[in-house]
Amino acid sequence: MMPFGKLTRMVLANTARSKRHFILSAFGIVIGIGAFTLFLALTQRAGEVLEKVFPVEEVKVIAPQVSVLGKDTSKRLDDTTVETIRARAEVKSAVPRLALAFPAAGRGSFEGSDLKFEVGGFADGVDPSFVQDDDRIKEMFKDWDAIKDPVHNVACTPPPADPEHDVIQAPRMAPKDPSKRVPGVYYNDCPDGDRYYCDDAERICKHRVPVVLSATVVELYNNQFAKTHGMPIADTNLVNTLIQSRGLSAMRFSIGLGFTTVSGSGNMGKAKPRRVEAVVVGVSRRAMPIGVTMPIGYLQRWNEEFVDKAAASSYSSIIVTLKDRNQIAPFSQWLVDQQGLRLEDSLGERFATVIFVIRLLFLIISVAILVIAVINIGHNFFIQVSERRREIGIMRAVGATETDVQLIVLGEAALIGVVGGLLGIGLAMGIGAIWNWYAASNIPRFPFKPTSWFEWKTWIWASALGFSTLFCVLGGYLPARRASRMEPAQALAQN
Amino acid sequence: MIRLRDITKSYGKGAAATKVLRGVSLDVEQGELLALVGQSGSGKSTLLNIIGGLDMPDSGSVEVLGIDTLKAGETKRAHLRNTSIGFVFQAFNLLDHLTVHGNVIIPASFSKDSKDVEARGHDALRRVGLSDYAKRRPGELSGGQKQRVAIARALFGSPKLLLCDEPTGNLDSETGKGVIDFFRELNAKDGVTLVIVTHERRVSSIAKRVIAMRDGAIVETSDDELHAQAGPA
Repeated sequence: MMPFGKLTRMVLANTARSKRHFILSAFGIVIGIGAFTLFLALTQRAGEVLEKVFPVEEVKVIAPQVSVLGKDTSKRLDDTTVETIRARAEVKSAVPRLALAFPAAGRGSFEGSDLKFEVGGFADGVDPSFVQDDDRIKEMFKDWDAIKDPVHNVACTPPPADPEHDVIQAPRMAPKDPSKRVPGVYYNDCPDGDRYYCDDAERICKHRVPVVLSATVVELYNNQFAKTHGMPIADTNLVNTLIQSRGLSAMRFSIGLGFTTVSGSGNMGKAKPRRVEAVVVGVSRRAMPIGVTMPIGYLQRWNEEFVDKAAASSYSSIIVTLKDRNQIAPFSQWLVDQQGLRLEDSLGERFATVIFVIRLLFLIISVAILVIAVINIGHNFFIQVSERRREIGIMRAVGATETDVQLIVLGEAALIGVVGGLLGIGLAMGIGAIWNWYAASNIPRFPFKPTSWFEWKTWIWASALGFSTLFCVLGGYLPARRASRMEPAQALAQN
Repeated sequence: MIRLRDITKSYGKGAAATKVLRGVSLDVEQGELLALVGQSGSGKSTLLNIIGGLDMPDSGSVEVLGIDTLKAGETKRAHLRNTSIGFVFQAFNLLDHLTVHGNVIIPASFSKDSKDVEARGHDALRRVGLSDYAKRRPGELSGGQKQRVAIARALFGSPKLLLCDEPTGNLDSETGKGVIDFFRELNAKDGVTLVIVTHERRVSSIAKRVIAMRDGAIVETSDDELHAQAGPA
């Protein structure tokens, strides 16, 4: 077999002198690989957006709702249930979620607007180790009330209560310059006031309750609330943007435990209503889709305080991560048969299926284009091999083996694959860039509208280049075989 | 150097088969200059191709430079052509897209030996008197010059055996004479064994031995008959 360097030089020289043949052969590959790359990058991006909205690798275990004579007799999800699930071989982790079990109302200020919203029914808690999306969340999403902090937990004077018994806004921090204080206005005098507030009930400074929002909440705000209330649109990185520009205190709000914005509500809890302050510390894929999520310790204490002990340990759901997604079906069956529980219907699973089908369809189209290109390449190479009969005969006469001849033809085909693949990737990225530019200004905003519609992963480039080369080598295989099997004496007889 | 025994070769199949060689046996010693003469279709070129491993016989045995080329396999035959056998054809068989020098060194593309390729190429061109034509393309050369390039290519690997198929067939008499003289010198000075297929008496006249072929077989002929078969001088 001829040395690789000499083979490469000969392949390059042969390709350089057959530009027309090269262009004719590469054209189909460029189009096919362009479509292949573009479709893969598009569906990859769609999948990632979907993943952001619905983490599809996790399943949510819930107890079927059962009631007898209006009384909830559903199976309780408690620590025993969690441990039973964790003991399963297919389970990687099981994290309970605890919902707020009594009414609560939120009040905050955003861009000068006084916002009031219901928190009861829209809040839950999880173990902080489950919520680790970014460094700020890792640092701040903790059960601060469980940490003794004599530096900050100092005595303070809480703000005056609202004469109408409403939840008050979280008071502002005291100005650094005492002369700028407005007489008669309450200021938060706690140390590190952007994070600490004066608790109304305990009259000591406490860290605000850290909460995370889901991307869905931000999108709902942007697409529904902001439009109808004439509020500014924020990008999906809203929290980061606001915290960076105005500090953490920009994201503070009050939660009135035992308060509600819904008139005529019945059970307001057994404890005396009180106010705590919370702060949004980030956007997390682990947050409940519509509502706020906080460290589970707060929810356990509040549920016990306002409802009872059982409410502190009756989980609303258990998030289970399986070791292998293919084990969802047997795990689901075990839940139903052995535990009387079930998996919540996952919209994510359905969307993932839709995206999978779309990706499959796109890939079939791309492969169809590539197959046509391969047939075209095969046809072109058959013509070329026929035209180069005498040249092949000469090469055989001076010492080329059948393998050498085959490798030369296959090398030329592979070169078309590599160059065609690179051009195809370039074409796809060019079209992608044009589409991104067009879509940014011409396609109306919609939930989770991406800034880039394509995810250019390395594996996509690698597979595009690999497939391109593979398909071209396949196209060149039969002509190469024919060339190598040509009788040299007969090939030389062609004049 | 060459030992052929009972070589037969047919083209086509069944009733349409044409027998080209009918039990040819031949021995060629090292340093010989042998001319193969005969009418068109007598099987001379086929025999030459079989000696060079470019074609395979239907039966018989072929031994070239001590190698049984039928048993040796395709790779070994290719190696033999690359290192020990040179070919010169009537139609020159140069690659038009390469320069003269590129044509001469083309055997090096299929060899693991990359030593002094450029210099050896220039040396081969110098031997055929075409040193100044190294960068030209075959299309810019006369017929005689093209044949000298083909000879330079054949000599590039310093072969022990040179197989020439009608080497002067496309050349005028003056140019042809130059090529014949070169072959004689090559045989006399370098001891290269030459087997030349030819129609021309002037070529066969330099041979130490002339073999005549008719209808695929070697025939016993007198010297006068041999010269008559070789054609005009």
